[in-house]
Amino acid sequence: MLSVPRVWVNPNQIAKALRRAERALAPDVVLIRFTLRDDWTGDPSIFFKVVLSDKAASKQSKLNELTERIEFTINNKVKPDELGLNSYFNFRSLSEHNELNDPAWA
Amino acid sequence: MPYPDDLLEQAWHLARREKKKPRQASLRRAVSTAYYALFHLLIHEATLNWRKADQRALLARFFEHGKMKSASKKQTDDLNVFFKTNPSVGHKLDTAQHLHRVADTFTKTQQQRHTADYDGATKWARTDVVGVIERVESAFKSWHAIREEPTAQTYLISLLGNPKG
Repeated sequence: MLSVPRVWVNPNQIAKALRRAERALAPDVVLIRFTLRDDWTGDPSIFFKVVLSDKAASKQSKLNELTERIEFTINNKVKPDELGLNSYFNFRSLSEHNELNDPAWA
Repeated sequence: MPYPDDLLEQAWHLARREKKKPRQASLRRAVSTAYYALFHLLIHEATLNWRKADQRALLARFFEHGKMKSASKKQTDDLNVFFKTNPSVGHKLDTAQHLHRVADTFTKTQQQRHTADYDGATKWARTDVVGVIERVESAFKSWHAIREEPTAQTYLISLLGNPKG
């Protein structure tokens, strides 16, 4: 069965919401990117890519607490549920981001 | 040590295997192994309810990734509706929060595992992988806190799929 988002998704609105999230999460978060596509089961989804400051990422004993807080803030700003989207998150530190030089995160 | 715990330990081992520059192979396998740790934990818990112990391994083979994802997504959606009712602090809310962590972690980690196993273009960073494993570890703790709760047991049954489907 074809699954479609419940409402029309406006990427510009998402980008604006993410700028607000970046400001709210600074200095721990350096930048946030997103991609809209289906997940592996074909559900419409939004994939967030979050670059953390090296200082924030180095607190590895608290990393899970930090990433949960970031996900909560981003989900509150973007509201993927209301857009009919599953949300997924990936994180890397600024050093890793620079070292990997990954076009998918540019 | 039970198999799911062994897998979790192995995920940590892979994530930390190379001190300086982690190999993509190690990071990918770490993500995949962390997902399978939670996958096998839930199936193990579900099949413990089957009285005939020698048939549990057979029963375990009836669980499917896609159906387990759908059930976990529905569980998190239902719990999100419950949270929006501003429930009072107490045992019911604690249980709901633990169950939400388990179901949400399952859904999210399954997608990560799919990417790690099948998308060769995606590059992984150790920070990301450590985050995935920490989340699974946290889901393990949440599961052990609620495993005897009726809502948790109902969730296990739902992992087999939609009864109307």
